[in-house]
Amino acid sequence: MVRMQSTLKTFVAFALMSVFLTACWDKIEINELAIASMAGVDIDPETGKKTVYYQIINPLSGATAGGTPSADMSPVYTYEISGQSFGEIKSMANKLLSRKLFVAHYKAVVISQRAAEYGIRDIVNLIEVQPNVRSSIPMLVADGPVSQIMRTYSLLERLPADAVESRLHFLNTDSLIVGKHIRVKDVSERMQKSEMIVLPMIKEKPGNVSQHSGERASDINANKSNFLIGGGAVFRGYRMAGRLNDTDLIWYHLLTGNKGQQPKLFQVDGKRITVVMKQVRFDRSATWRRNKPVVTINMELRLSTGLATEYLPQSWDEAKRLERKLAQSVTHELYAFYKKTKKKGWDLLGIKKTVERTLPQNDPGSGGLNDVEVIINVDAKFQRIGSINKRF
Amino acid sequence: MQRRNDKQRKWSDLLQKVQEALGSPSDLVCRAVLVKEETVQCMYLESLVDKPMIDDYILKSLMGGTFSEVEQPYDNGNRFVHDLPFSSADPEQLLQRTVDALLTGQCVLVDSLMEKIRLINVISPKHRQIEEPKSESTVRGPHEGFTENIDMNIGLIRKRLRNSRLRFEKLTIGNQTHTTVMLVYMHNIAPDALVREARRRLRAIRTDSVLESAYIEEYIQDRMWSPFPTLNNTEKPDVVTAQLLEGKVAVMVDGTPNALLAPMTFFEFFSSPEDYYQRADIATFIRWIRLVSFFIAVFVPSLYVAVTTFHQELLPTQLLINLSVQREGVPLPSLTEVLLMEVVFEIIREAGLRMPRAVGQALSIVGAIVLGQAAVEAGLISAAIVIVVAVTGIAYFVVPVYSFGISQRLLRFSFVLLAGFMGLFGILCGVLFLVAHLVSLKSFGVPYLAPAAPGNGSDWKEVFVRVPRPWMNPNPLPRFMQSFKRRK
Repeated sequence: MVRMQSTLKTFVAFALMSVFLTACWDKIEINELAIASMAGVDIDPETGKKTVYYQIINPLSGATAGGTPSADMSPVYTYEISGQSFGEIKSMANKLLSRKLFVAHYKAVVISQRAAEYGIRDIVNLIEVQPNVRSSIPMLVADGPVSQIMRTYSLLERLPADAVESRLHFLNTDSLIVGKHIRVKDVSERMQKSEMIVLPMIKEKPGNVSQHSGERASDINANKSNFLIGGGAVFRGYRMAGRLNDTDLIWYHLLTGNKGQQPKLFQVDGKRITVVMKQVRFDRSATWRRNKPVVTINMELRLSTGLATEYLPQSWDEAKRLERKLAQSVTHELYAFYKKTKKKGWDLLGIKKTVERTLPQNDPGSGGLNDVEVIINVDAKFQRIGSINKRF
Repeated sequence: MQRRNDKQRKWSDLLQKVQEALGSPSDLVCRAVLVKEETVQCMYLESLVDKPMIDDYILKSLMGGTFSEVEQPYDNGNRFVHDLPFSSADPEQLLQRTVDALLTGQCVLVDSLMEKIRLINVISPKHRQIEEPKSESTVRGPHEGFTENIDMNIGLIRKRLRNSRLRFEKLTIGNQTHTTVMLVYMHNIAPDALVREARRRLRAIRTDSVLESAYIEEYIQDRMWSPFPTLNNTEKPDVVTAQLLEGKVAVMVDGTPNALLAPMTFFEFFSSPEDYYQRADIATFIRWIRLVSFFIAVFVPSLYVAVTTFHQELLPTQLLINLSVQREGVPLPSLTEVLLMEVVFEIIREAGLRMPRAVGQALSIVGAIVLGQAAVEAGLISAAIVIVVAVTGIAYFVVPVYSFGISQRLLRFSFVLLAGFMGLFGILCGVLFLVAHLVSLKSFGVPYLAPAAPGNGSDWKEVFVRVPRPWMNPNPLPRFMQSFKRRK
C-alpha cells in the first residue's frame, strides 16, 4: 500500500510538472504552415534594397498526387517582400502571409543576375545559418527578371519548383549541360576554398505570361511563357564573374570529370556525325617539368552512334580512324575552352589547386595559370556502333 | 425403540447441522436406504452430482446388498470400486467432512450409528468439450485447447508428454473457493530453484477466492506496477508442453482454461507455437514481422504526432503537402485527433468483444465506416489519422500473446502524450524510461530483457531466428536459465 501511494505521488508529481513543459507551446500544426517550394532573391545594387520572392504551395489547389487538381486555383502563390536586410524581410513576412513561413522544404533558390553580380555571400550565409533550411538545394541564376520567373507556371509538374528540380536532375544525368555541384552548400564550400563554381541559369521563354493556371494548362503551346534552363553563371568570390554557353558547359563538365553523357554533332573530314560521348575515366595529375608545373588531364570517352543518322563508318579501319579524329576534335575543343577561360583569368578547372596540392614545394608563384602547362589526353572508343539505315 | 429413537435423533441433528452449514440449500437431497435392516443415510447436492449414477449404482447396490463390489462408470471409461467399507469418522469431524464432501460433488453415505462415513465421488462432469482456443488460433498445429476442468487439462498435457518425470503438484488455494491449483514441471529439466520459488510463491498466497488464473498471476508475478506481463498465459496444451520441455513451470487452475507459464522474457512474447510447426525460414520471417509490428503498434501514432506538430522538416516534401491538404479545415490539433481516434478505436474494440457475434460484425463495419469515411468527410479528422490508427490497431494483434498486446496499448497512449508535449525529444525520453524499466524487470529471477540485457550472444539466435530443428540443442535450456542449478 505504501509503495502504491509513493507510485501515485510520483505520477501526480510528473503530471503537475508537465504543465511547465514549454515545448508544447512550440508546436505548430501542418495546416498552419506556409510551405515555401521555391525562393527568388533580387538585390538592387544601387540602393541595396533586397527583394525576396516566396512561392508558397496552395494546399487547396490539389497540387499533390492525392488531390484532384483544381484549375480555378493556383498551385502556388508568389509573395514578394522587400526590405533593406534579409532579417527584416523575414520578420515582415507575416504582413503578407497568413501562415507561418516554413522554408525547410525549398527545392530551389533563384538569384537574379544583378544580385549574383552584386554578391551572394549574404544569401548563402543566410541559408547556411538557418537551422531549418536545407543547403542541399540547387541554386540558379536568373537570366532576366527573377520576378517573372517566380510568376511562371510550369507544365506537367504543377509546382514550378518540382519542374526546376526535375529538369536539373535529367539534365545532370542525360547531358553535360548541368553538373552535380550546383547546390548552395557547394557554393559555400567552393567559395570558402577560393575555387570557382558554375551554376545553371534559368530564363523565361518569350510569350505572353498567363496569370491564370487553368488558362496556362489549357494551352497546347508548351514553349510559350515557360522557363528554360541553359547556360552557366561563373562565380568567383561569391560574385558572378561571367557566363558560359551550353557548348562551353559540355567542355567544362568533361574537364572537371563529370560522368554524364552528351550527344554532340561533330564535323569530321567534311562529314557530319552525331556521337554520344560518355566519360568513363578521368584523372588529373601534376608534375614538375622544364622548371614549371605541368598538369596532365587524362580522360577516356565511350562513343556511341546510337543517335547518328548522318554518316556511319563502313569498315573497321574507318571506325578506328573516326575514333582518332573524334578524339582529336574533342581535344582541340577542350584546349580551346581551357585557353578561353585562362584568358579571362578563370581557374575553372582547379588547375592551381591541383598544383598546390600535388606540388606544394613548387609554388607556381604569382604567374598563376600562365606558369602552368596543361596537357589534355583524350582516348575515345566506340562502344556501340551501327545503324539499320546503312550497312556496317 | 430407545435405540431407534437415538439413531433418528442423531441423524436429525446431523442433517440440521449440515443444512445450517450450507444455508438450507434447495439442491440438498437426503435419502434413507434400508440395507440389511440397517438404515444408511445418503446425502448429496443434486446440482453437482450425476444423479443416474447414484440411482443406478449406489442406491441399487445398497438395496441389493452388493455395495462392496460396485462397478462405477465414470467419465472417460470405467473405474472399479472394489472395496467400500465405511471409514470411521470422528463425531467432531463428521459434520465438517460431510459438508466438504457435499461441496465437492461427492455422495455422502452415513451409517445408522452416525459413526462411519463413506464418500463417493459422483461429480457430474459439467464442463464444455475440448475446443479450439478463440484467442490463440493457429493455422497449422494442434487445435485443442484447455477447458475449465483441470482433470481434463492434466490429461491433455499427459497425452503429449508421456514421461514419468512429469510432475503435478496439487495445492488448494482460496479460503472460500478451495480451488485446486496445480504446479506442473518436468522433474529432470526444470531447475530446482525455479520449482522451489514457484512453490513458495503459490503457498504464500492468502486469498478468499481463485476464480481464474489471473488471480494467481497477480500474487506470483514479480512486479505489480508494470504494463508488461512477466508470466505467459495460454489455453493451448501444446504450448505448455513445449515450455515445460524448456525447463519452465506451469500453473493450472481449476475452473479456467488459462495456464500460467514462468519465467517469461520480453522477447519470448514474440515467439508463437506456430513458429515451430512451420519451416524455419518462414517462421523467422514472421518473427521479424512481429517485432516490426510491435514497434508500429507502439510508436507510429506518437511519431505521427511528433513529426506533424514539431518536426515537419523530417517529412518528404510531397508527403508534407499531402498531409497539409488533408488537414485543411480539420478543427482539432493532431494530438487530440490521434487521442480521440485511439479512444474511439478502443471503445469499438471493447464493444466488439462484448457484443454477440452477429452484432459485433455489424458494429465493426459501422465503426470502420464511421471512423474511416464519414469522419473524414465531415472534416472532423484527417484521412491520415484513420490510416495511422488502423495500422496501429491491426499491428498490435500480431503479437501472439493477448496480454502483451494490452501492454502495447498502454505504451502507445503514453508515447502519444509524450510526443504531443515534447515531440521526438519526448519519445526519446519515453524510450529511455521504457528501457530502464524493462531492464529492471525480472520474471521468477530471470532478467526480463534477456538475452539482450544481460547480453548473451548464443541465445540471440533464438530471438531473431527460428533455428532449423536439426540445428537445435537437444536439451535447450536457455543460457539465461542456466544460472539455476539443474537436477542430475
